[in-house]
Amino acid sequence: MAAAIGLFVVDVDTTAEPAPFDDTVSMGLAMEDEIGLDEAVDLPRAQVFYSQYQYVVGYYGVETFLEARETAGHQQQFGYPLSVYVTDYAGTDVDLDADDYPRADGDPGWADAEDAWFVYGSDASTPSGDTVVPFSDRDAAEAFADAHGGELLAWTDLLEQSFESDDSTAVRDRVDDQHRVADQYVADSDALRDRPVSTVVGEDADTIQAAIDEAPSNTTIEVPDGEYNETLEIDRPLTIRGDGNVTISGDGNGTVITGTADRTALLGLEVTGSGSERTGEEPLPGDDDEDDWDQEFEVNYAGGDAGIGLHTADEVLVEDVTVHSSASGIIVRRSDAPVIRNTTVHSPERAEDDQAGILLFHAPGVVEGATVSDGRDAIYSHRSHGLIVRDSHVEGNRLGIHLMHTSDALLAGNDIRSQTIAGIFVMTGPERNALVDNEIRDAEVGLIPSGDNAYVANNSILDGGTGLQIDSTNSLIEHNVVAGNEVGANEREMLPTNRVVRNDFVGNDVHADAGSGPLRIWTHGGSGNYWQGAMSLESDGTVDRAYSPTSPVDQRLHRTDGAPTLSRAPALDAILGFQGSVPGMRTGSVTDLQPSCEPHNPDLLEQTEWNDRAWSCDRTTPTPET
Amino acid sequence: MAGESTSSESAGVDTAERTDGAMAHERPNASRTFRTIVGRELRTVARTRTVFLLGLALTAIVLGITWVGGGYQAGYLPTTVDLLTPLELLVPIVAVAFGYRAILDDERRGELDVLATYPVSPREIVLGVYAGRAIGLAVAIAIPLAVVAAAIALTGDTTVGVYATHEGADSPILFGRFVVLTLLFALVVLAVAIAISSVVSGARGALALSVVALVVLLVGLDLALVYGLAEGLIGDADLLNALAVSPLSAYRGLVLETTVVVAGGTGPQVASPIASLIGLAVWGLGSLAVAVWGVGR
Repeated sequence: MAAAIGLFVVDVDTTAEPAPFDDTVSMGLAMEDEIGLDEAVDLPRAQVFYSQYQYVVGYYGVETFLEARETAGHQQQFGYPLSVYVTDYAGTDVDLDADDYPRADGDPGWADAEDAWFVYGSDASTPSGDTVVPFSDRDAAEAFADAHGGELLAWTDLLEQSFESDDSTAVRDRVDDQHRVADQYVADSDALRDRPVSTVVGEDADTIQAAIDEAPSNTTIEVPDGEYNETLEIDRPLTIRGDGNVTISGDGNGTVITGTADRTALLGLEVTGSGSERTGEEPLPGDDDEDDWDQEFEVNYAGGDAGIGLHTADEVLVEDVTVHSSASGIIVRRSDAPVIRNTTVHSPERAEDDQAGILLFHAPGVVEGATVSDGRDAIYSHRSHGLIVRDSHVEGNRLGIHLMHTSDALLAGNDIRSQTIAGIFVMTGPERNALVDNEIRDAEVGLIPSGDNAYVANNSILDGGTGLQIDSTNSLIEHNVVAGNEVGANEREMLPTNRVVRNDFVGNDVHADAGSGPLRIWTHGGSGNYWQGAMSLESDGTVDRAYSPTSPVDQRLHRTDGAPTLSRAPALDAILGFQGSVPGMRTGSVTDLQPSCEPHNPDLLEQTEWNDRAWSCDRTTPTPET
Repeated sequence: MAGESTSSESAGVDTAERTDGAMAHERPNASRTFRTIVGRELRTVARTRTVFLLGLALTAIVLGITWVGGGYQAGYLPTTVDLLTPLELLVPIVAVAFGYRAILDDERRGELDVLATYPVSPREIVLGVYAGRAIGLAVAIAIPLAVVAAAIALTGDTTVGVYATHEGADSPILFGRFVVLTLLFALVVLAVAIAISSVVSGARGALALSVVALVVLLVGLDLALVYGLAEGLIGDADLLNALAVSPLSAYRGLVLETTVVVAGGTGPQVASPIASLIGLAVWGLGSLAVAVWGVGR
């Protein structure tokens, strides 16, 4: 009896010891920033033990945690924080470096946040912005504030402050602006199209290279119809325009056309016959003395042979060009605002000889109306923050669009077909990418957003292996049509921070699946998703129960006769009754607490062959395919 | 346990067969009478094969629910949450099965009349019968839950090894609370069943009244609360206490308040533990009082 009463008196909260930060499931720092950081830098961090989440969550920047706890659904998914530990700079003689990043002498330890003092509003920052600097000791905190500004706050006062950075809704709001930026880049390139003709090859000069050497800067060289066996180097701002069918044919060595001047323009050309070396050697073309952590990648990736190689040249234009590639089609390296329009790259016959169709290395600009087929990576970007790829068509490659360390990009309106690995593959944890309005068909994996604060919307992902593979955090995935895939969406990120809402799942073998990690609730602000098969016995157009695509019965509702009847068993209802109440402790599953009756995106669905399968929830006798 | 039942058996023989000897003695002390009746009840329970069947079925169902809900990997609290609603429905049925004929059978076999010739009060009879059946019922319910707890403790967790993990608010203590509350709930419903068995006069009547009682308990009282709330008979401020009127709601509220809420954090209060405990106590003690009255009739 005493033991029974004792069960109710004893406190179940356990105090946990801080974990090594590398062992936490962490967020708040792009991989690029992490790699790029000097080893001497010690960023402030927090680690949080939540009541309902069995992994310790690490945050770069105490403010990252403070911001996360304010997001909708955070407490529902994680429970409340049992303990919070923060970096303790007391006794480490902390100072700020040239970037205002904190540097400590030795390894800072951990302090319980509730006992710590925080310097708020000082000069200190992380790669993500201003940061709060914690100390276990008040005097140490005061000394830091004296040296670097800011005020002292206790934990409870710090909790009152509001911290906001651009989240995935800001990325959504940015899409239109980014289209306008792209329009502006294209409009700015008009000046390159309209340069006066100064030299006509064959009349004023014998070869194209001779014309390049002679023509005044900022003029156009006109190349008449014909095949030219030449390798070109352009080191002044010139426009080279093909007039008719102009083919420039290299000798099978090196890059056919190399440009190193700003505002170089190549219009109306066909290029063939480059060398087939995929990796390059130092020195690379152009004027370039940067020595970054990705130097080796730069030489290996951007130094290879290509039809067209534009290096350290800003505001270049490549338009109406066709490249028959032997290694890479077009390489643009260290360039601001390059514009690549209406170009076609035919990949080498053997895909393994290919590097990339269009390769952008530190080259944030616009690629639009490009066509790349049958290669390795159709469009590849490395650290091209703000890149825009739109209205392009890629087919039959290994990867359609491949982003490495590229944040703030916009991939919009692309038509991506039959990629053997992935349609759009975002790697290396970048931030704030917008992936919208794309149609991706028949890919092994359609779309893989990773990184933080991605915005994935209005895409049609059809007829592939896995439609969406969600490796991202804090991302908004909405208004997509995911149809006809083996697995519609597969969430593999362990942190349940994504919002997956207002998407339509139709005709997938299994609509959604999840890897390690807790139960993910794909319902936010009263909105869920449309799941073909989720059904209702109500006639008011709402689905009267939760839908869990990972449950053995629900996942068969749209394709197995009898499943709808079994799903209505009171025993199942009884078990499901409280399912959403402790999501953080459940494993590997997905549930939608408010599935919708009708598709959210009828216009998008209508353009697919899956429209007639998207029956509404009150159709009590579904007709699975026969 | 085995030793206890042996001693009860000899005590049972005492009561049943040596009536003359007993008459000759002084009134036996109260605790001895009580032990005798409890022992007799335990023997009855142990001899009834359907009780084992019931226990096995309950074990299978509880394990099945834990498996369907993924509870083995998920932990104690998610399992508690999965089991709560099914047990709300199953526990009353099992409890009624344990008790609805307990006193009726004694009456029909004439044992009550025999007992009436002893210096044993109706109160002692009812408490003895109740305690005996309660022990059997508690065992039948505790074993499946203990098996589940063991399964959760033993099956390896599915966490990804490279990351640091912790238990969060999950704890066997929470499951222990759930078990204790479930037993308490079962004992209250058993008291209701004993009361039914004391006021009816035939097996058919016992069955009918038991079904009525189950319908009222499982559905009726909670629906009455909903009706009262909808019609304004129960004010928003009174709901927390009004919940105690329904044993199901009282049990549910206590479980949520002492387990799920511990991990959930803030939100509206789910139950008033004191009111719920009082509600359960009133149902339990009231039913036993009815049973005493029924036996004395």
